[in-house]
Amino acid sequence: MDPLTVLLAVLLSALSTILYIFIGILPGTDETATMAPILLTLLLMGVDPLLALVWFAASIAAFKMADSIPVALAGIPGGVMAVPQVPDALTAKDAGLADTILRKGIASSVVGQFVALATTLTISYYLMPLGDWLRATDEVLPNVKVARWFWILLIGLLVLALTSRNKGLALISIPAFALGVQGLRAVYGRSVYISFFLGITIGPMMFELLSMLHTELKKTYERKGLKEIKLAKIGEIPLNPLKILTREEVAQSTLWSAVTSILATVMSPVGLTILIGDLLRESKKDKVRGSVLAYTVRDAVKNATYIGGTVIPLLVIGQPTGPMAAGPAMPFFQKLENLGMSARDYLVTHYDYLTISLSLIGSSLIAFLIAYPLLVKYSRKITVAVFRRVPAEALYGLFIAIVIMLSYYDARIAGVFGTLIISIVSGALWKLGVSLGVLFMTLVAAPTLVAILMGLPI
Amino acid sequence: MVDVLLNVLNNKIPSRVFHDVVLFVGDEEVFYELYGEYVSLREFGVATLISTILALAFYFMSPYVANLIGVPPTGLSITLGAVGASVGFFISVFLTRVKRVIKEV
Repeated sequence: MDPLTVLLAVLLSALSTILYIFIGILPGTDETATMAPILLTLLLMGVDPLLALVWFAASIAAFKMADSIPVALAGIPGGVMAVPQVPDALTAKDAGLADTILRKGIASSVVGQFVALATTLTISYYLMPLGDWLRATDEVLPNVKVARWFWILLIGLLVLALTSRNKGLALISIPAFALGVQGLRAVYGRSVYISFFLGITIGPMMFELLSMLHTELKKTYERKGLKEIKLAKIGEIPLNPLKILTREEVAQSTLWSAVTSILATVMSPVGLTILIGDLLRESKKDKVRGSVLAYTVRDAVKNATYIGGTVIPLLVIGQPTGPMAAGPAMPFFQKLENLGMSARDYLVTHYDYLTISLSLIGSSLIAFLIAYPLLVKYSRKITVAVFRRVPAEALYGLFIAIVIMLSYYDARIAGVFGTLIISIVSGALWKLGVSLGVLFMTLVAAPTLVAILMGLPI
Repeated sequence: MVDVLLNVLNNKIPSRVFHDVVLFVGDEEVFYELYGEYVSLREFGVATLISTILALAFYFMSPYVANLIGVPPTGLSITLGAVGASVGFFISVFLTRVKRVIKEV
């Protein structure tokens, strides 16, 4: 890398960290909705994919560290991944341990990110030769060729569907949604992607918003007065992370970060965060001790699954095989007109493994050097500033504007309406208990799934 | 420096142009819960409209700007569109109110 690229990488890492500290603390900021459009915008702007990757790794570090801060202080999740931490945070808060879980969460995020980077970069190095084999195709039905990576994606998709709240609907929505997507693509006459992706991303918000056009449904969303947020007081927190975590917490965070970073290649990060946290909480007889341990390790698992879910599909498989790669990291896998290939393909053909690895480690290091002391020292003040100064309307308005612009860019006015219909369907399925990850992965699998469906002799 | 900045944000700047109105009518006003946050549909509409108009205006301006500075318009259109949406966000921050009350426990 030349000095200018290094300088830009440092600047982008710092900028991404500061931006995602605020986004992370803001309540109701979905990861895919906030990370993917910005990443996609950067790539479409012509930013080098390596710099976009640097931005993305720093955003994971800062976002996943910051989104549990409002959980510890007020019991309000800053993002979807922080939702599983709420019950444990409330238990700890009731026991007067708000500042304990706050500092433990921040410290274990650092452990999670670096353990996941070490694990997945090592595994990816040894598995990279498998990439060509995985990308080869086999004829499974007459005239239907299927790439081998598709079966990994399908396993992940089925696992995710079976861990959705509404398993039955999740399973039958896979072929139905795939047919809908391919049908729209046939109408458009080309393989539109961005507008469908953004449609799923804003689905839950659009569904709630459009429900308000119905008089009876609108009443169910009515709330009187302002939203009351109770913030816990916190004491002084030491800057040295080694003084924050116990040996058991370090060991459990390290072990589960390594395991979940690999599993996230095909499994849901939220599902893994819930599973590991619940296992650890139940392993303790004392409820408060169990909750503190679960909260702490969950913070590490959040970072680890986001890193693992990105790195292995990016470096080894070359296709989005899990909910993380098919969600927030999806822009890396989509073919971009300005590059003539996907950002992923550009990365692996223009940069060597060492450069990519050092960029990921370097950007995470910069992110934590900025975020860690900032959050340890000022987490409460930043939370108060964000809660008092950033209206939800302005933030939601910004996201909708970016979605409309990118949808128009993708398929002009038809793209905007394509986003609308996909968002309504996605929002409805989400409301009925289907994980959005199922829809993101179905979007990736749709061409092959429909080809198989049409090729079946029944 | 961070301390000074956060103190200014938290104490020294009046909350919003509508701040006094919120304090006066806040308990009675009806909002709608959207994605876990309380919103006013009117303000949400205004914020979305401002950000969208500015995003699209900047987006459509991009071929002329690209022509002027001699760069390909594809990447620039997204860049300018994102700048427009962000300008809309900062304008909206001053036109919309925060619907949260913070209490220390």
